[in-house]
Amino acid sequence: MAVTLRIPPALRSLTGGAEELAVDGGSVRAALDAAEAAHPGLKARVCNEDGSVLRFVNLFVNEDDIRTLEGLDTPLKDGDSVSIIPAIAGG
Amino acid sequence: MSLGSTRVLVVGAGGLGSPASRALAQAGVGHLRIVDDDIVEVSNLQRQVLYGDEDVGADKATTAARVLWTLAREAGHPTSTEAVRTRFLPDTAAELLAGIDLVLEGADNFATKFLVADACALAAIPCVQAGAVRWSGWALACANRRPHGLCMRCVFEDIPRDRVETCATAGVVGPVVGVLGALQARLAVAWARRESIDGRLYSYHGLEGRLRRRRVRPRADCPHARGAIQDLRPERYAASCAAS
Repeated sequence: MAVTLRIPPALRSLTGGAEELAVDGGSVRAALDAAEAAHPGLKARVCNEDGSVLRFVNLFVNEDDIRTLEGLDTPLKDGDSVSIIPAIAGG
Repeated sequence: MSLGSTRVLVVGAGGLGSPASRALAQAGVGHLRIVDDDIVEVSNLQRQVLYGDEDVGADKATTAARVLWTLAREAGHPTSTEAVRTRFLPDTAAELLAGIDLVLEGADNFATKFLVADACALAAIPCVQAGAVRWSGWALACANRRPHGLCMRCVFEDIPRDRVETCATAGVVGPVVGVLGALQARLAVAWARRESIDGRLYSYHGLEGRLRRRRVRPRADCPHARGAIQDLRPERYAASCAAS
């Protein structure tokens, strides 16, 4: 499945400045793994060592929080976008 | 409840709190209680639009309350304002929330954001929160209905302990907090107009000029849904990577 992974500004140093990555993946987990293969270190900014999503990071498939779907196993179809939304503190 | 009878607590009169409270004063909100213990610095002026050169060195809460009172009068509104020169802390939360209908939070550190979120969830007070660093940020409105509605911990589950930037370490761009502060004010006005405000997480990227809205829902395993947070014990907020 060809999907778009949207990279937040805080993680773009790991993607050469790319705002979006085109990756293949049938699930959110597979999409993250594909991104990690191309941009090592990216997944560690999204997931814990045990593979779970960091508690201050949100993942959305299109408009929906993956916690309301099937988590990292949420299936993806061609054209879907996966957005990474980390907590930001400043004001 | 109407906007003219709504009493708003503004936590942090900085980059977010300045444009948000300015918009609310000019829209005719009933009362603005401004809490901040900081003073105006030259580096604040590019984004903290309530202050001018002549205010450098003055305390933000008092200056903001004065400026907001004037702005409301100029717009023809009888808005009252109140300055509280302190921080929103576990032992000041109850007093600061007394008589308040809605909280608008624009603090610059995670500890305060989570503390405000927890205090509002426990008191069932609606809260509009936001955060911004560099060119991007987010905003979230939570009505905090009982028994358990959406709260910030449903979305950002706990205080990040590392791997995050704050505006103190990375800076923040004026127009970004201007947009997000205005959005906070818009959400506050919507709440006063009895419109539904929660269920959406807004993210804004200034360089891309893109505001996105995504659906969020209350989590059954949120600590507030489970009743795991019943108080504001300081140690829950003390070990964060707070910027101030």
